[in-house]
Amino acid sequence: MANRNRNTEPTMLEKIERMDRRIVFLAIAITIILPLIWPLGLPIQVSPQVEDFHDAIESIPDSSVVLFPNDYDPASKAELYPMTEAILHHFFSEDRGLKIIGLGLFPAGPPLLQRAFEEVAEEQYGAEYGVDYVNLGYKEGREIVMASMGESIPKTFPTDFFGTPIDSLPIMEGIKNYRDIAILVNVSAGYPGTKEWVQQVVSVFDVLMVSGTTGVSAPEYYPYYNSGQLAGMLEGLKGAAEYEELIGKQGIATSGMDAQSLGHLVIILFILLGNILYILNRRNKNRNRGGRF
Amino acid sequence: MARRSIPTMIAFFFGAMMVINYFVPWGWFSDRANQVQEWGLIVVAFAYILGALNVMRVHGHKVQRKDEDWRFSIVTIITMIVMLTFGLLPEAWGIGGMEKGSPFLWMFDNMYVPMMATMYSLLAFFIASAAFRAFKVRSLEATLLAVTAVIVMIGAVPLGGILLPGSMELRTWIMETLQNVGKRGIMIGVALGAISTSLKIILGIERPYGRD
Repeated sequence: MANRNRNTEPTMLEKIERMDRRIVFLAIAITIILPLIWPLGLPIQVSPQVEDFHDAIESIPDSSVVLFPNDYDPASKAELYPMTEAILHHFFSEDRGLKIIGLGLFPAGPPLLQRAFEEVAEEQYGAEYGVDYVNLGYKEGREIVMASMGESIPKTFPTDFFGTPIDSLPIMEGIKNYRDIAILVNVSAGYPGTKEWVQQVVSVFDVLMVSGTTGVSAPEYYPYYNSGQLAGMLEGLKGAAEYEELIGKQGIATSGMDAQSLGHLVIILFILLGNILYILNRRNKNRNRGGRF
Repeated sequence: MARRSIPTMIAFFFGAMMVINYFVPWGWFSDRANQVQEWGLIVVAFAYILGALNVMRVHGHKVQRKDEDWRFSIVTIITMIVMLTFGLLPEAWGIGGMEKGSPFLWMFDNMYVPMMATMYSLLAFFIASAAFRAFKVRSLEATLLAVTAVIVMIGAVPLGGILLPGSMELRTWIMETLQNVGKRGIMIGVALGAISTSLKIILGIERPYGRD
């Protein structure tokens, strides 16, 4: 009996392999918090798809109209809000007179977009609501909304986020449908988002489109980028940080990348540790059974 | 008979109309299809009202019967009524509207946003714990998966370029080539499945909109 207990009792290595997950949580918490307090300033290398995103916006003529759907909600705010801010800096910093039409197909998206407009466009560049930018708000209907805007944007969104009739806003003068839009810049957390804009708008109305997405959903959109249906792509916080680097306006995405770098490193170290323990434990078990590893 | 054939005919008519509209951008036909889309938006708006009433009904019953976690249902009902009220009140009343500083936006910014962001952020901790336990080199396939995951993770952050030079390029190759091949295959398969399911619905072979 005593012998059996000795055999079944886990060894130290086995105990480490089955470590309490709260230790993992603590390690992650520490490695994420520390670089947010003391940034490391790691160099950021810009990816080709981010350069393409930037070049697509640069390629449109001055005073063009930009459709800027922000299809995400607070769940993806940490990743996508810095992206929205970086893109707005690009729109307004060069004083090109771009007209930005924002909207959101996630119910909780437009208030976040409005906050970004106020914090970046209004406070930093003195842009005026209704003249330089507008927030059309949210409309339920997903793909139907996208398709319907192909016929008429004012009919699909008769009022803006605040309930003001959009006919009364100078920015909407002469804007009927996608023919009046120079580029569609989408920030997307999933459905409805980038994929649906490509299917309903790019392939039907041949609109130039770029997209910024969460890191986890980016693999979904690589085929569209490779086929040229997306002229450029920002991938998660990494994409936002690279964009900040490109436009020379470092913000929360850049500082967040240090935390993400160390977070990824710790996860990789845990994967390596888990495998070393797994191999050692398997070897010990085989040795005890008298077999070969 | 009519209970079966009328919904099928309606589904066929509108389904076929939307399909044809994609291939025939003809003025009159396109106008009618756009009109149908407008109807769609109105129907969806009513569905929202039904959805809200359904949430109230389900949670109301839960509270009435004192089912498990019924107290959370009270919170759901109260928060829904509060947000709905402040969201619908006109701005002229001083406590309504969506302007900066309005009660609705204050609750959105200071309650809803932090709670949602916190919920999603917890994923980082669970992913780390799951990666420690799941990425084990148990077989050749599992080893390939673990190695690829490590390369993609390290190549996705600036630190990767310092610790493992070339990891960013390798990650880009994995994402744009290996990943893309699999993704395209899945997407084409899903598209073919969606086409066949849509055709079945349009032709009345499959009828998710009605009971026999």
